[in-house]
Amino acid sequence: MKTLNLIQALALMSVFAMSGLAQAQDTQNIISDLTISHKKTVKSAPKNRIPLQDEKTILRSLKAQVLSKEIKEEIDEAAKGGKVYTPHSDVAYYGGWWKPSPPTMDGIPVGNIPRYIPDDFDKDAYQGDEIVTLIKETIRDCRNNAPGPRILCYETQISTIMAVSGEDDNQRLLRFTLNRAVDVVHHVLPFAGRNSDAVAGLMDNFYETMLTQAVSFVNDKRKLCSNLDEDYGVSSKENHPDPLDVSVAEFGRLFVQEMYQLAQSTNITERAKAVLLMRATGYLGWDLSSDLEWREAPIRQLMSAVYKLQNSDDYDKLLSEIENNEPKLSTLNNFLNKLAIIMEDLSPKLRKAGVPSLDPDTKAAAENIGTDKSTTN
Amino acid sequence: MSKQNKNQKMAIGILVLGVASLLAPLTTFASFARNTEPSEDLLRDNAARRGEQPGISTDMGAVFNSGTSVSPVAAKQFYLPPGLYDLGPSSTEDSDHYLLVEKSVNNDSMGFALLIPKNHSSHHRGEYRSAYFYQMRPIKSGTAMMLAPIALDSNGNTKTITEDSSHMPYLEVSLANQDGKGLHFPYIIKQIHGQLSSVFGNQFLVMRPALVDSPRMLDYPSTGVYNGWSDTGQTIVISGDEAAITEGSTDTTTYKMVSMNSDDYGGKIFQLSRAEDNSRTGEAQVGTRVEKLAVYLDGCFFRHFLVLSPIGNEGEYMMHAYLPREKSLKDLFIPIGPRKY
Repeated sequence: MKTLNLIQALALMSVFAMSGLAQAQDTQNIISDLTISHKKTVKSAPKNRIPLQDEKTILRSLKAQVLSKEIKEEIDEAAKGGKVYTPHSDVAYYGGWWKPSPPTMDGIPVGNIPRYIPDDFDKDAYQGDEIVTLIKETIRDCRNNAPGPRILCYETQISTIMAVSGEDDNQRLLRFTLNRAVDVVHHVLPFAGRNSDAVAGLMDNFYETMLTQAVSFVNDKRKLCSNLDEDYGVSSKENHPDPLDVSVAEFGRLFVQEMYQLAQSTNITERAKAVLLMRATGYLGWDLSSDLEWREAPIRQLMSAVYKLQNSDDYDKLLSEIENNEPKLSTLNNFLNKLAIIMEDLSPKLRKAGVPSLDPDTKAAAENIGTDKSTTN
Repeated sequence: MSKQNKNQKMAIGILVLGVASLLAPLTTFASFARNTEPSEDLLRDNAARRGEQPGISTDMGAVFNSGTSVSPVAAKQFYLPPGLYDLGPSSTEDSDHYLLVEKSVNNDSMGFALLIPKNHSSHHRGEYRSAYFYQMRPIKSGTAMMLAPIALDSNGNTKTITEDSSHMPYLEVSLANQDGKGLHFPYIIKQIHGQLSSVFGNQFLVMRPALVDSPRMLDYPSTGVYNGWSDTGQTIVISGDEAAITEGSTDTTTYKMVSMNSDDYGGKIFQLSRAEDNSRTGEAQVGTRVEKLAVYLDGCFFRHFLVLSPIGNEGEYMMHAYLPREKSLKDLFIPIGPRKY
């Protein structure tokens, strides 16, 4: 009898043990399920997350972005024959038309923003100039996030905004600005340093500034013009009958100024600063060569200056120094000084070439530029 | 036959001797002439005696290297050790400012500095004492240091203003003589590209290490709660990484404190950006535009918390110094934390 009781007790214990084990397994399964689902959410949450490039790709792109002799020959050839020069840059893709496949030249940031098809609600709700409302709401909504997630929020919303903007010719400037904003942030982030909170704040501020600028472009009914426009003429008088036109070079000037200001921040490393400044020269080169007045001598002079800087020892030295280390202060400052000198020349030379200004002070002068024959030809 | 041969040999021998005797003085003369080639000094002396000026040749290497090397006076590499310095208009007058120098965490040659007036408490209603915050970097091949003012830009970011153009004002610190020895004030400060402010009033300032070791910068006050008041009637409550500043009785603004680039500034300078809690969700809405800078100081009179608000000139800050209340909020909390008041 006793033996039977013992056997029963053992059996009961084993049943409890089994059930306990089963419970434990269940809990583990639940935990693992949670983990998996958590992993899934982490992976799937930023659906529109724009992939970051690694350091090496960015550094390679800095090497590939320089104006080359081949491009110069192409420009010269086009100038002689009066042909249209097709710029090798993001201008062709975002500044001009919504083309199905991006250009394949290495280092051009056109692949950065995936073209998501927004929900039909988005598409129908925000048409034409109502995109301004979408941007304002974006800023308001994203501000609800902490600085870190706010970067992702802005990026997600930017790809939606660009998709809603679609192929609207009047919103080229908007797409152009936002695409470059993402490109700049993605260039800075991998090098910005360990000061996460301050870096996140800096990037948020930059996105907000760029979105605000994009709104002002749409509000002012500004239209981006480049030499991709089929009907552009030879003189500035033909090219800028509308004072609201924004030439690519003028846009480039403003954008590079923003980058320059970002590079002065105390919160990023010297390496990130170098990457920013080198990227700025790339933008300058592309924008000058894509401008409507690309035949004019002052713009040619600026292009020559950018070409010299990009092919100088300073550029190569800085690029090799930032490959693995922080750059030497002297190398960085030399490069900074040379770029700053080009930037000081930008405004007067663009005005001389007949490019209308976006600065409020010179707005009146820009409106008269079409009638002023002395400035061109 | 043999006699003839003998005569021939003798003739050849005499000929050889004759030639040798002729050649010997010639070679001797030649060697003498070679050894006594007139030196440049001799030529110059001779020319001077004759009243002529010899041609002066150019040292091409020196021409092409002109300006690349530093003058022997300033040839010594300059390094400003971290610490507290007295700063004044001249060695005969009392110094009225402190310069707090800190070394950069990752880069030995760089650093940062805070310029504050010595007398915090002379803060009357309607008046303010300006403070300046600088990034330090070596210039002139490392023989001097540049103090580049840090300012807040229109986008709400902190930046060094010296890169705006090539003629932005800054301070240059160097040794007053080659080794800085034998002088009461071994350092000299020059204001480059104009005066930074009327606070200094002089183009040149002199500096020496302070005899006291406080005030000094402290790390982030993350433990416990800090509650202080300023002479202008403002109060501050710091808890965690938030600082709430109250002006008067109602107007309270909460700021999020983020340390400025801790890779360089070692978590000793904080950026204050506006933070508000959403009363519906309870979530904090943090602004990212930097509105003020803050420094936590120890020593001097009491423990001070300095809040710098940008004013007037770029890089100039109005200084609010907060003294801790006698009854601190920290008394309400247990544990109090490692600091002692």
